[in-house]
Amino acid sequence: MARKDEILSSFLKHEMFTSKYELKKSDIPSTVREALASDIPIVKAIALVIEGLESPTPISDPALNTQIRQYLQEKAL
Amino acid sequence: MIVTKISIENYLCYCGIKDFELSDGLNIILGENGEGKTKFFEALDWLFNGNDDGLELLVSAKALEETEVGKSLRVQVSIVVEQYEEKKIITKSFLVKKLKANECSISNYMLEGTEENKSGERVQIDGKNLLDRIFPFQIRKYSMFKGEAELDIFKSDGALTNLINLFSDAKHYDKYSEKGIFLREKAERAVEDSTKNDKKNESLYKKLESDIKIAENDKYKLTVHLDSTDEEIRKLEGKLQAAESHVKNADALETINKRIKNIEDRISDLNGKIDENYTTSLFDENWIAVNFETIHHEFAEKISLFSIEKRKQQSEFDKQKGIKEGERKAKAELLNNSIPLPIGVPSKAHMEEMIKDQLCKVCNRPAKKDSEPYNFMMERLKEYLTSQTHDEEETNDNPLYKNDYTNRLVNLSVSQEDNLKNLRGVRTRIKDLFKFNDARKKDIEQLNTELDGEKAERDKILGNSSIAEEKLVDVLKNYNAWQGDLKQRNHEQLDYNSKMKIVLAELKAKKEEKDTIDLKSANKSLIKTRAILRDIETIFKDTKETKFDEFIEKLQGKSNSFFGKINIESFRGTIVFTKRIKGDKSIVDIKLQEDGRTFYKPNQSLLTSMHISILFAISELASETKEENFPMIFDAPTSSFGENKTAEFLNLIYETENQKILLIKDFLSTEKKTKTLTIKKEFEHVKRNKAFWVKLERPFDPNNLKTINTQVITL
Amino acid sequence: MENLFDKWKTKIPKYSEAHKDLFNSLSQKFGAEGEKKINFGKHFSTNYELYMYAFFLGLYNEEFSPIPDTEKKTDFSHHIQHWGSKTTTLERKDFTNLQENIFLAVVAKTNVDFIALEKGEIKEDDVVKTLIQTMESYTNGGLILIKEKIDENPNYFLQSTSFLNMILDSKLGKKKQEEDVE
Repeated sequence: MARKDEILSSFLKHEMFTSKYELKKSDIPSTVREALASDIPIVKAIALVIEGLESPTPISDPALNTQIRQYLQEKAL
Repeated sequence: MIVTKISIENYLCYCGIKDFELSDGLNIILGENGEGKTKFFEALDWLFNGNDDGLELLVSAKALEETEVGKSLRVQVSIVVEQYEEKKIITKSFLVKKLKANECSISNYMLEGTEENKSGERVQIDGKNLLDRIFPFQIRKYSMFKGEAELDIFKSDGALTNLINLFSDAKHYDKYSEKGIFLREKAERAVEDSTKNDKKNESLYKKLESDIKIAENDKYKLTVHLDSTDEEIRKLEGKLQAAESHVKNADALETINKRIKNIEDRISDLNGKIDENYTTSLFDENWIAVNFETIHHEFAEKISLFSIEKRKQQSEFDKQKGIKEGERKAKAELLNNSIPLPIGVPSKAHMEEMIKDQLCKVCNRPAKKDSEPYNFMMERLKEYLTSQTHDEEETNDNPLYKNDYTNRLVNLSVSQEDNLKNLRGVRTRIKDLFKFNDARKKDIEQLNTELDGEKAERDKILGNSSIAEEKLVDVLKNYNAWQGDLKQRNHEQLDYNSKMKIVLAELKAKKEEKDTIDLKSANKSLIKTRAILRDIETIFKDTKETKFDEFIEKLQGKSNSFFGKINIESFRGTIVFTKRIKGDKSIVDIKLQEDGRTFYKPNQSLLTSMHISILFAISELASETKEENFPMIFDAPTSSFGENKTAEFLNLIYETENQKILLIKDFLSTEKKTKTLTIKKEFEHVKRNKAFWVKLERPFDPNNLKTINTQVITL
Repeated sequence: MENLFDKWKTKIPKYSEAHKDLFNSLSQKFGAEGEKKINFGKHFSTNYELYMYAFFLGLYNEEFSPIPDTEKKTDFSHHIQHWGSKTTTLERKDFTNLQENIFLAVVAKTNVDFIALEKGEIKEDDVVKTLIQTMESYTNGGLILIKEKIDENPNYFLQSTSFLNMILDSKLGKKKQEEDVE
């Protein structure tokens, strides 16, 4: 498995997903690509972060912030 | 990767080229102290890590001596490794040109690499590069150890981070944790700004912000306090445990010292009671008069006789006096036995008047001449007149004895008589005193025997303890002080913890209050975003921690698995890794625990077993991560073990994978007669894949480096 | 009433110069008690103590040895009445009472015509002189005995009981012991 997928899986193992977000096992994606297509904001947000940091040219902080906030604001609305 | 051959040329005590053909598994190199063992290790270390400094000090003196002036010699250390079925060679060398007898010039060193593929073709490549590929620095760090002390890798705080970076994918999660914090802080700021836009909330908000700041500050301070208290407590518990083994001795020592002092006091007491001032007592106790009774009787008799004689003569004398006395008596009868008036009464004048007038003027009766009254008065007048002229005669009693010495002498005799009773008791008193003194002396003798016994006991206790008496006494003093300290620290810890609870609660409340205001005033979407980012931060942080913990658990598991195999002390406990936060770093503490109780001061061989187990565990982790094995090189790792334990240990690590190269000084003995160095029979029973013996060529002069040359013997 | 004792007490008895060494080695002239005495290595704290001891020793052994005219006499300038007075030190007890014992002894052993004395036929001073002579003679005898003992065994007096033993083992002492046994 590619590293970023492993990292994603590690994060998604957190109990918050099942308890607070009430996600079912089936809702939890196993790859970053899947996660990027997810409707669940927190999942996609995490995927975005991973994608940005694991790329050969890691994303800068300000850029990351902008990207994530853009997504979330849009989704939150 | 396996090292198949190590060659050392003209490096320090290795004159000429000396080869070690190693195999996989356990390679043992034996050597007496000072005969080339450690130089072997240093040669490798120089190959891997050395720099340009002091190259001239590395040259073999013997080799240099044997070189002609004007000629050069080479100093070189090289290894041949096998990696992925390919042979690779790394060589580090420099040239030495002999200019004069004791002068030479040194070139810079070169680090060359050679790769030889399966078909035998050789390719030169950059040495440094090759070295990093075959034996990366970080791996080397955990593979080469000189001495027992170096085995404790967790002494430094950065060790855990290092290991994780090397062998755990936990290293990837560090940055996520950072980013999580970063994103959340941005979101918080956004919400705050939005809230502040609403003027109604400004002041309250500001106050809350400052309250939170203060609370965070308090939290930080308390954390620092707690951290340092925790550390104090840990240190104290360690000290106490170390002292505990001594304390049992120290307690016993104190008891005995008390007993000894008690006995000594009693002896001194008794000595004080003994009175042997016999000569002085002759006077002060009047013992000198012990034989005096006889003398006294002599004196008493003499005085008595004298007194009798004196009284005899006196009564004779008095008899004579008595006649005169009779005369006086006759006179008295005239007065009808009544006591006559004194001589001068009535006065002379009165009497002459009465005689002239022939009349007693006292009773007014006539006193005619020659009548009785008249004659009485005449006689009285005559007496008076006579008394005036014959004064001396009147008082001329003329005693027999002018002086009376008798009185005093008799008194003396009588008073001394009383004292005789006392004198009779003197002999008995002297005897009693002798008895008393003897008894005391016997008592002292007995006490001295007791004292000797106690002192022997004390010596035993001191003999059993590994530290000197004054230190033992100190230990007890410190032990009690530390117990007191520990109690106090525990109190403090409780105190801080409860304070911390309050601060955390306060912090939570304030933050919730702030959140409430935010929820009311701020832009809804900002709040939603913030919520998600808060969660993401938590997820990232938690996951990172989990990964760390997973690594540590893995490390612990592997360490204990090795520990179980190579544990020579038959210690029943386990190695426990505990993570704690120091400042912003995670560091790990290693403890030995048995039945839940921490073993604070294990002995050196137990520590060594523990450390080596951890190192093997790390080596295994490295193998798993890099998907490759690396050799482990130890110089004298078991100096504290003694020969038997070392043999046991070697047999146990023989069973582990990995190439191991161990340098040890055991199994060598010097034959008394011939003074030759030989290998003991016991070594035959030690399991190994290969063994070598490094020893100095004999004869050699330890003060003359030019005679120093180590030989390598393959066993 | 006259007191012969008081008169006698005011005298200073003498000893033969031949025994000067004994006084030097066994006693401390101006007095030393306790530790001091031990430090000087002396058995008797004062000269008169030795004098008294020698007197009793001579008395108990019936060693009446008048000082020969050929020997010079000397003294240590300490009147009998002060002998045994230990007011200056706490370590010792007062033994002035022993003066009485000495007096009784010399009176017992001297031929004095007390009758004549009391009658005034002989002078008090002369009697006192005779008493002193008796004292000096017994003391001389005692000193000779001590000297003989040292000559016989120089280490005899190193024991703490030696002086005591000489008194207990004297002629009179032995007689008394026999009596006690009976």
